Amino acid sequence: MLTGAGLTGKTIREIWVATLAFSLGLFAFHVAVALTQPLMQKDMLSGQWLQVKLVQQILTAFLGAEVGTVFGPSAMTAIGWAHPIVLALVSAHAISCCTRVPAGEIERGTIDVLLGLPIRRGTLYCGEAAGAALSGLLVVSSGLLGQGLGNAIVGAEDRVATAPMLWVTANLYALLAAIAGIASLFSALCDRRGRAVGAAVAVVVASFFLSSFSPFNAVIKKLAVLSVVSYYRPFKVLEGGQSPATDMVILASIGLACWLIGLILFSWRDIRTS
Amino acid sequence: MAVISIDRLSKSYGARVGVEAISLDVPEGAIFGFLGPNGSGKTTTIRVLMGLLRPTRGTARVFGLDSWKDSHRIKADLGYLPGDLRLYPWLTLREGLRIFGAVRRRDLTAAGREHADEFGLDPTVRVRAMSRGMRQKLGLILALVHQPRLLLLDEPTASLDPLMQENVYRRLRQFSADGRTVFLSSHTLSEVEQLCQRVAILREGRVVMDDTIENLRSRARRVVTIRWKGVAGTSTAIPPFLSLSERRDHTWRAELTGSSVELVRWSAELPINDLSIEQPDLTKLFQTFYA
Repeated sequence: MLTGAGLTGKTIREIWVATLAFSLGLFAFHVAVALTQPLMQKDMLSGQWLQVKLVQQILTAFLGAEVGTVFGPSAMTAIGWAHPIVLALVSAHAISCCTRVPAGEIERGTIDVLLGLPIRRGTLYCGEAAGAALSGLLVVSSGLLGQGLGNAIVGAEDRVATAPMLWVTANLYALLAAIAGIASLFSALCDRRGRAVGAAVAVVVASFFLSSFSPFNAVIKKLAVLSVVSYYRPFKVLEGGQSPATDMVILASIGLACWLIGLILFSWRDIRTS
Repeated sequence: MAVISIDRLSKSYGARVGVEAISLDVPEGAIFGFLGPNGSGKTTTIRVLMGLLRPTRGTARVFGLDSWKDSHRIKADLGYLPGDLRLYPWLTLREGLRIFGAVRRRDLTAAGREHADEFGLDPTVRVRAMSRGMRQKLGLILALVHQPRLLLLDEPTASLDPLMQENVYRRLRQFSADGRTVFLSSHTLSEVEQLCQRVAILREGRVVMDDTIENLRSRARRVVTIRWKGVAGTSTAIPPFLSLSERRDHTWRAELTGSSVELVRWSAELPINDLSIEQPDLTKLFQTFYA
């Protein structure tokens, strides 16, 4: 217990600034979205451009679900939650937190001191994952808080119900967990943090690419099942009233599988001097 | 009982050999010197002992436990100072003692304060503001503070001033006198000579020498300087127990290859002004294994 507490203290010491920065970023973004939503919604409802097929395809690519010809508050909220800024912030947070151990520690040479302590590599890996999980929860929740504050400021009358919003937040957290698992796997494979970050970013960008271009190409549409971003669809939850439970299970499974492979690799690999 | 027992240990990095079939025993309470030129396999051996590298063949045991499988148990009673010490930029001694204490399940504050006073280290200074020497002191304190049974030190006095080096030597001697063991890797041959009871030398991944300092001293050749009266030295035949390295007008410098008794008997009958026999030079002996 105390062993874990010592390590958690060190992890918190190292990630609190990043957690705060990403949380504030997501919080500010959702406040801004909530504040501008009434204006945007007015333009959307009055415009005829939603009838244009290309616009519909772009919105489908953006939101990950077929859009209709009417845009209500739920759809507007979904745009905020599926926005690339949100995905970028969440991905960056997961990747920055989960490439610290072991790749980051090996690169800066501090792994020797850390593994000079009487701890199993698995304990270290799990401790880092626990820190990242807690930190990720704070980041994702700050988005929800931001939206709540923004809505309160503008006095939005037709707000989205709490339950679907909690589902969307949970779905975003599952996406974060999947990316974190992938980043942990690359971290366990690499001696340089930059390489682990690069590989994880490549996977996220490829996922985003597959998800975004799937409405325009049949081959990409088939490949989109490989994209983690495809399993985060706030529009379906908010506008369609669908449960994201299946998507969340898939994302959690991807994250867990990658994380476990990373754990096994880290437990068995050589730690060489950097 | 051997605290460290290495048996036919080999470690390869793909096609490159780190160490090849090395065997060593480090007895409890000893200060064991581990020498060798760069790339000879010292760090590989230490990293295997620390459970950072998995042996390709053979075994490495510490306290009778397997260094790979039981690594975390071994480290409960082990202090380690890496050769290329890197610490967290935000770390202070105080914070280090708190974190290491929580992991080791001990309150290290009082012992840490005592060590900080001895080494002259401010416990509130962060690593990013420390000089290299101060970082080395912090690393040493964190390795020593929990009073481990075994200390694995890789170049412990690198970047320390001579006064602080003496402090470290004193502490290590005390440590050994308490029945604890020190495994010391160093390039400073004089340091090994004055501290260690036993020495192993590694070259190209193999142990080329493993013996006590006493045995080495007896094997080391001593330098003899003879000052002759007048020009007597020019006509005197060189005896078989001397290997002459320098011959000037009135002076011979030679290595004593035989016994000192023979030398004294031989010199007693000759016109000699002065004769001196220097202490065995282990550094020279070590260097012969390095080359």
